Amino acid sequence: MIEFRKVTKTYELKGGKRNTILDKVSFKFPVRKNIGVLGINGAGKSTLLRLIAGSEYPDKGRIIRKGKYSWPLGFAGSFHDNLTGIENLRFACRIYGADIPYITEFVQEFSELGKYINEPIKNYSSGMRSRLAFALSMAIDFDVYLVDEIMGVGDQGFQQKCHAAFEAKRQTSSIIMVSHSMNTIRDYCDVAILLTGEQLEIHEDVDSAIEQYEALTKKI
Amino acid sequence: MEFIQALSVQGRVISALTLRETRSRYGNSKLGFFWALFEPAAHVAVFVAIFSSLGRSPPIGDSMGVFMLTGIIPWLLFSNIVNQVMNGLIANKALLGYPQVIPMDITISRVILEFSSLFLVMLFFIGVAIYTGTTIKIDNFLVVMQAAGLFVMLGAGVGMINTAILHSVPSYKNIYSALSRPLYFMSGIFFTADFLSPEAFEILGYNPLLHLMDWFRTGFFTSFDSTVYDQTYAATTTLIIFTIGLVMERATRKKARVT
Repeated sequence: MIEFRKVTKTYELKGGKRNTILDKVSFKFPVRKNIGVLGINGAGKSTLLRLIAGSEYPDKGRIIRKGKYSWPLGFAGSFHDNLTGIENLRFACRIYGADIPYITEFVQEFSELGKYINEPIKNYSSGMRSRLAFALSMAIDFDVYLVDEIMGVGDQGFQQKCHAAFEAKRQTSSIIMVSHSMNTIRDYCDVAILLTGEQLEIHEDVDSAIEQYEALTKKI
Repeated sequence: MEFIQALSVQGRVISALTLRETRSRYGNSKLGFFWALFEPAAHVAVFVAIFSSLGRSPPIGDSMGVFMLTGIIPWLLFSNIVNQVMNGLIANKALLGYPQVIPMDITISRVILEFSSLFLVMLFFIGVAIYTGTTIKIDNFLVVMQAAGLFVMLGAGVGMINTAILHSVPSYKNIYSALSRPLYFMSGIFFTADFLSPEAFEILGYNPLLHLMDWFRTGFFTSFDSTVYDQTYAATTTLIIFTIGLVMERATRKKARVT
C-alpha cells in the first residue's frame, strides 16, 4: 500500500530555477497490480520512483507506505563504485537483514556474472550492473519491486529469466516500473500511470495510456 | 514497536557501514593499519626532532615523544573526524539510494571508526614506549576519556556544520582547510596552555581545543595539573557547536539525498 498526500516535489535546475514535478498530488496507488509509469523525458518518472522507495523525500506532503519496497533498481542505483559486486551484495544483505550465504549463492547463479562478481562495480558494463541489481533484488523478497528502465537489458536469455522470476513472484509481489519501451510496459503491467502536468493520472487500460503518452511525445 | 524496529534497522545500517568503512580503509591495501600508525608517528618524529635539536626538555614528563603523542592523538581525533564527516556523504552518496541509509548513519559510522582507530594507535604507541623503556602511567583514565569524548563531539559538530554548508557552497572545502590550518599551531599540540603568558592566553584561550588539550594531559600525566584550562568553557562551547551541527544536519537532510 502506498499513498501520496498532498505531495509536492520540485527540482533545482543549474540556473537556480525550480522545476516542479508533482504539485500537491494526493494519490492512492492501486494495490497488488503491476504499474507502468509513463511520462515524457524530464517529467520526473525516476524521481517519482525514488519518492515511492523513500530514497528521496517530498518538499511538502506525506507519503504513507506499508510493506517492503525495493530500492529503485536502475542504472544510477545504490551500488558503490569502488566496492566489488560481492561487497555491495553483502552490504545490501546486512542492511536488509538477509542471509548472506544464501543470497550470495542465488546471485552468483542468477546474475551469470562469473568472475566479475569480485570486480569493483566501476568496471561493470551497464548490463552487468542491472544483472546484479536484478539478481540481488530477486533474492531478497520484496512486496513491491521498483524498476527504473533496466528491464530489457542483457541478452534474450537473461530477459526471459527475469520475466520468469517475476512470474513466479506474481502471487506475492508486484512491480512499479518506468520504461521507455512500450513493449516492456505492455508485457509486465496491468495498469498505467501517466505523469503529466505535475499530476498523476491512472489508466486502467494500458493501451489507452500508451496512446495518450504517444500523443504527448509528438506534441514536443 | 515501530520505534524499536526503526532503531534496529538503524543499528543494522550503522554496523554495515562501519564494516564497509573499515574494509575500504584498512582492508584493501596490504599496508592497511600501517598508514594509520604512520601519520601520528610522522608528526611526533618531526616535533621531537625540532625540539630536541633546540635543546628543549619536554614540558611535562621525561619523554618528548610521549608529550608530543598526547598532543597529536587528540588533535587527529578532532581534525580527522571533521574531515571524515565532511567527506563521508560524497564518498557514500550512492549508498543513500537505499532508503534506510540516512546521512546520519554515515556520520556515526565514520566517527566510530575514527575513534576506534586512534584508540588502537594510542595503545600501540604506549606499548612501543613501554617496550623501549619509557615509564608510562596514565594518571586518570576517566579524565582522559572525558576530554577525548569532547574532542570527538567537537569534531563531529564542526564536520556536520561543514557538510551542511558544502551542500550550498561546494568550494567551502578549500576555504575551511585554509582557515583551519592555523589551528594546528594554536591548539596546544606542542605546548600547554599552562605555559602560555597571560596575555597570549587571553586571546588563544577562546579556542576550546586549547582547553581540551590541557584537560587531556591533566588526565594523562600524574605530574601535570593545568591551572588555567576551563572545563566549563570547553564543554559548553563543544556542546553548542555540536548542537548547531545537529540542527544544520537536520535542516539540510533533504538536500543530501538529491542525486
